[in-house]
Amino acid sequence: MTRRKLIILAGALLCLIAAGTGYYLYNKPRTTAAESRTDKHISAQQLYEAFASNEQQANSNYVNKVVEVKGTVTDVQKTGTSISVLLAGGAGGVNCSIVPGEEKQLPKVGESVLIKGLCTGMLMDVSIVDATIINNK
Amino acid sequence: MRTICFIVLVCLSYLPMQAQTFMTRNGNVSFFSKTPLEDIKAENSQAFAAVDLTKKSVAFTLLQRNFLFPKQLMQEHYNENYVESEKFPKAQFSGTFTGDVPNKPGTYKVQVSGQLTLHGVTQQITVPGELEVKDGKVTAKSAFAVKPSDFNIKIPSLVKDKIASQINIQIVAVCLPAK
Repeated sequence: MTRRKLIILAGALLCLIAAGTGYYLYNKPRTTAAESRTDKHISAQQLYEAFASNEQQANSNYVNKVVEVKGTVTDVQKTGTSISVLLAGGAGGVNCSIVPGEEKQLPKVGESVLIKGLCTGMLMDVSIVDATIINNK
Repeated sequence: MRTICFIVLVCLSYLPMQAQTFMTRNGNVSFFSKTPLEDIKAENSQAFAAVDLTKKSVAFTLLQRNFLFPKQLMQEHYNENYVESEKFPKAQFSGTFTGDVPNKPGTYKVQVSGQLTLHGVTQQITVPGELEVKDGKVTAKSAFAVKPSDFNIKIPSLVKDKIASQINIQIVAVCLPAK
């Protein structure tokens, strides 16, 4: 094989790898919070207080981070396919949207629970989405 | 942000007669973009919604980051490039509806008019809606379309063919009586 042919072949191979990588990245499913490494461990009360006292600071500390939150359940709501578990956080709460498939191990009001999910900020409560229940003991 | 939601709730619940304010913190808002090249769907199940049957008012607010996409890249592009979630973390709507909706079981068609704020831009919109009163709950539903360009959301020419010029939005909020 001549040197020129080798270079063409290497170039074509590189293009193929680049196209394949691009295609893979474009179609890559969203990384769920459950399969991501936990960034922060915190209680629901501490998390709510962090946002209530200094939202800007809390945004940079917790938003877009995977957190494990421990707290007492104050409400469990099922609407269609959506399930939400609200944790007591003092004056407000931590609202966790639970992923489908967790129905069997949903906690009851008053129970203590550890939930892992993506923190997205604060509306009325601190928002956690893509959440799974680690344990409800 | 919490203060604004609280003020909206307090304003809606201040009534001299029987309270007819209903609210939820788990309203469902989804949007759908359909083009021949790609369909894009995202869902947000933590919209805060309040409906007042006496004042005929409706208010919604949500965090942009609560929209979940099936693909990682879509999720990142939406938050970082299109709606710029860090700069404009939430979208909100407040308005009124036409027609009488008594606090009695039934499904009532309404027209909702108000201000939609998205990506830091506020636009007046009028959209069809439905209020269903059942089992002591009020379910607010609406489906309408918005143009990203009306809210100063710029779509790069590279992906222009993959994102529809009109995005269909669907809202379903099952609201309970405000405590």
